[in-house]
Amino acid sequence: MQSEALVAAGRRGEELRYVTEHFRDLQGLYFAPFWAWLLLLVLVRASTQLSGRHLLLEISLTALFPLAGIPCANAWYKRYGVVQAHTPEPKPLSILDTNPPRRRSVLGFLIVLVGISIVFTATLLSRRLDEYRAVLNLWIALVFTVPRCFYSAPAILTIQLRRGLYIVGSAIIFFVVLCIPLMGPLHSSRWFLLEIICTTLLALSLYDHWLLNHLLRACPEASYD
Amino acid sequence: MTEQLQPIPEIDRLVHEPARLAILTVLAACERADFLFLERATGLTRGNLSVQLTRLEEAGLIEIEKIIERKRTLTMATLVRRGRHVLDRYWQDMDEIRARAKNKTTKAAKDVRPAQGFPGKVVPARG
Repeated sequence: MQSEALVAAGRRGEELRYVTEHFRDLQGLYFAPFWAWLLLLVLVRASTQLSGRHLLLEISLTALFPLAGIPCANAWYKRYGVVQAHTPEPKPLSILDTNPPRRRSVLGFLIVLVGISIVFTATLLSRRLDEYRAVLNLWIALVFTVPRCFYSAPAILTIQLRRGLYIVGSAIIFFVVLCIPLMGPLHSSRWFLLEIICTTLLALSLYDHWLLNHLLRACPEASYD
Repeated sequence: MTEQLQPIPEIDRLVHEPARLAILTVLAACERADFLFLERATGLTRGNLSVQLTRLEEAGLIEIEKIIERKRTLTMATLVRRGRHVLDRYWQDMDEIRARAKNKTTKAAKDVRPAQGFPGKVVPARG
């Protein structure tokens, strides 16, 4: 009985440690609306032929998405509290060091994000940029999915499942980008590939959000008695 | 005989209490966390969390600081060096106790042998 209690306490400790260390990373709602919007866009584009003016409108709306989406996600996740991750020890200052310390700016981050989304949407939707599409999709996979496959995860089913999903998601994106175009014109439809990529990224973001809620709700006060 | 006389490591009761252990575990995994996150992560009520944080602060394991961020007052808790040391020592003691309990259980299982009949068959006591 006592050993069971020890195991349960150890498991809860692992969950708490994981959710605290990956608090920022598990906030899937930052990107889920963006992937959902892209999926919708791709589904609409696949079924209808739109003019160049519509294309510009779509690109503009997609570029504006981070501007509206990130403050909304910020407001939503404010309810979860604030966690400051461990910061590395600062280097001693030297008068010989002429480079000023780098600072993170929210505005800079937003500008970069808007730039990425403009390039991303233009590459996805414009036929003229077809040759760059595969490279860009791979880059997205490398940025969003591959790094999350290598976290040290405790032996808890839901957390291991997250890593498993990211590994499968990365594999799907790599397969879609590199192999499906070789299988013939039917499968290599631009919209088919994009639907798979957007759906995969959306599913991963939603699972992250679910996992955050699941880990934070797993321990009511009554269990401490 | 000598094995039985070995002292069992003394558990720090302040840390051993589950609610406080949960708070310390969260704080050990980050630089600092605010009251709201601790409330969600530990599942404690505000009153209870406040009491436990005060106890930990009085014991010198954590530091509590109130900061104002965009017209919002945040109560931030930080695990100090002493707190980290106490938590590490607590886990070492627990590991030691767990290892001893495991050894004892294994030894007891080896000592218990059936008196007669097939291996593993339970012989009812007479009388």
